[in-house]
Amino acid sequence: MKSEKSKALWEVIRSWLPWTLIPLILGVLAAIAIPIPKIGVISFNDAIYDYSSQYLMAQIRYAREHPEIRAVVLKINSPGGTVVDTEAVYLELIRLRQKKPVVATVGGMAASGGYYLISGTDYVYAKPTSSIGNVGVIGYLPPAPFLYEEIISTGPYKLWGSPRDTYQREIEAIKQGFYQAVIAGRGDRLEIGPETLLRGQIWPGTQALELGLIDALGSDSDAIEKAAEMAKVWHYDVIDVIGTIIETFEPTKFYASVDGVNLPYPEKPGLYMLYIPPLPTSK
Amino acid sequence: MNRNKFWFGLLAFVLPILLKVVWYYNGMTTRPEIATPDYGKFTLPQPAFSTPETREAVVPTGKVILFDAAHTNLYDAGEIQPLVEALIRAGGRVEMHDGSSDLKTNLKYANAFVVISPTLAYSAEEIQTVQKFVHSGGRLLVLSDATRGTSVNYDTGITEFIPDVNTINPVLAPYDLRFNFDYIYNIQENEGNFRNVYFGDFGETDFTADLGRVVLYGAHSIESDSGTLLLLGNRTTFSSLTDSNEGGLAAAALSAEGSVLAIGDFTFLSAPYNKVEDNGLLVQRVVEFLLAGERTPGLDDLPYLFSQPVVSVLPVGDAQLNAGTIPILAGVQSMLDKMGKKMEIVDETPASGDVLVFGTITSDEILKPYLDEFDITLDESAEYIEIPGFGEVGPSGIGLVLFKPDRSGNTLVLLTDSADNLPLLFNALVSEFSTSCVTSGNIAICSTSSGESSSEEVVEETPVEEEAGGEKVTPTTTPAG
Repeated sequence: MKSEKSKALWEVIRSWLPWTLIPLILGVLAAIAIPIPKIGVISFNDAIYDYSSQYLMAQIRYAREHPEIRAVVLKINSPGGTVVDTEAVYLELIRLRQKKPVVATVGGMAASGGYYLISGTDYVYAKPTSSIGNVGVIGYLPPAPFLYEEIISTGPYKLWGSPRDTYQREIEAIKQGFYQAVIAGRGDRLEIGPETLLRGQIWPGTQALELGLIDALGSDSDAIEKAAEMAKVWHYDVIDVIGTIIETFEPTKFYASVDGVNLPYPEKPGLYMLYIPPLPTSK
Repeated sequence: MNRNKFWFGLLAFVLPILLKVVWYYNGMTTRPEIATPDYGKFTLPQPAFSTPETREAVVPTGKVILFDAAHTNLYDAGEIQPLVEALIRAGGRVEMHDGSSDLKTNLKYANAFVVISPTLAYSAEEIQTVQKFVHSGGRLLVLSDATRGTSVNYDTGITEFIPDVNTINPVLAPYDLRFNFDYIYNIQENEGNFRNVYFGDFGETDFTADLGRVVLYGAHSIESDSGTLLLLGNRTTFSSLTDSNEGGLAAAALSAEGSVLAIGDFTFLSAPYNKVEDNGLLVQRVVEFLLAGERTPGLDDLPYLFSQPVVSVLPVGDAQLNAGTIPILAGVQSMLDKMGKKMEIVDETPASGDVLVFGTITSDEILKPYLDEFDITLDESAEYIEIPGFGEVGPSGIGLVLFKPDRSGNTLVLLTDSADNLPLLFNALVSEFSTSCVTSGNIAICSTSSGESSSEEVVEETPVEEEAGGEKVTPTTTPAG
């Protein structure tokens, strides 16, 4: 009798086993296959120019294209850089942000183009004495056009690019773009108007917080937690996106002159969203 | 039965997945729409060119505008070309003071003096000379610029710093005008850049009449307690010194007596900025200001005492056209030629115009009205002349210089006791006025004595010989004759 019961039980188990164990194993395997959510950390500690922006954009693209990266923390320490490279990174950052939350955390400085970038993130942390702001554009005027005996061209600005006056007005249009980017990014959180913001002033983190240029004072860990919160993940891994990049870019010089001397300002003339510390004066 | 098994199997499959998802995620995220700048809508701000250019026939006024170029002035000739052209179109003559002769000499014949962004300090004597020039009716225009005086040495990384206001303010101080070491800016309302500042409020003067809106490009602010502030900033125009507009800001001012104009920028004089908004009219006003100078010359301004294009030369007394006087007249003609004037010899008193009277001190009827003008009385015995300011003067060896400025023409009278001494008097006037003549107002008496006159001094060089003691014998001066 007992043996019949055992036999019947075994029959039940045998008939259910394929319907439980196999799906369970498959379910576990499927669960294992689902990647653990990650908070991608993009570190940027440089001026923004062709070489550095290529590396930065490669990281941003990687974070956007990999679904396991649920949110991104942009650790930044930058005085800004060239206008076009700053805009290029900013637009990539916006594309990333359309898919995933991006939280910025400022180290020493997010000035000029550096601030342009973090204004395009969802939330900004800084340290109490981080240098924030310097909204504006700076550049060298080209020389007034003149003729060379030995250089011929097909138009007056073929050699010079544009008239000096146009160049000066161009930076005003770029400034408007910068201002609109800050307005688009910060929105109602910004406590100051253009008359203050566009003075180009640099504020310490504490004051930047009062003025609405950043959202909070905090550490990089705070930024990671905030990113996780915005991505709605309980548990996650933190990865440095830079470690995943296998693309290589040809290094170029930004501050160094052609003969290798380090300069306090960019070697190439042009327009910049860049904080250049004041040069020493002769008196 | 099989249906139950299916659902159970499905649950077994989903459960681990669900557990993992619940472990890691606490909800779904939806991304908001991200706003970005509409880059396509940004356009380059363009200035309004509204000032018409007038082209009228040039009528020379004979007025000389002297531009300072002797104090390491930070401007190029091309930058002031529109102003120079406007001055010439208005009949003025432009000259540069390059330091090859002293300022005092050059200002003798100028009607206006223009100082632009100097960095080499003016001496106390030069400042006094300018003051005297302004006091005599000359116009002084002082232009500073906030973009001048600094340059980066790219080899050393050092910024060279020579602000022009430090040099300019001592020149302006006597007229209660002073530039601030700052720049004016307006972030909210500007002509293409924060340092290109609109000025639409003006101090009430003829200078600013009919101006609608002008633009200055990197200007210093200016202060004056007694003068009239001309170009006034609005509530969003700030000084870089304070980042505010406390007390109001001005970029140009006119001195209380109206003969000194100071403007904190000169880029508005340069093309194409001279045609933006009402800048063309502003340039025109500057031209009018400079040409409005009516100087009253004095004997200090010798030989630049005439203002008309033609000077009538009238010999009186014993002075006749002869071999003795022709060299004098040739000298006068040459001198007037250099001034762009012509000479006309007349034998009677002209009704108006500039007149040069020369001759001997006699009771000549033609001469009498001129002497009467100065209350000069000739003693009948001809032993002495009564001259106001000098008393009784013995005529022997004396040259008498009288000058009378007048709107209808200036009169210069040169008299000596004898026709032979006239060349000595001319020589004294042209080259040794300060050492040979004593002045009282517009009357001067000069020594023409052949025995004592320094003008006839002849330097006789004693041959340099080595004396026994080794000392050199220096040349000595001995009177001629």
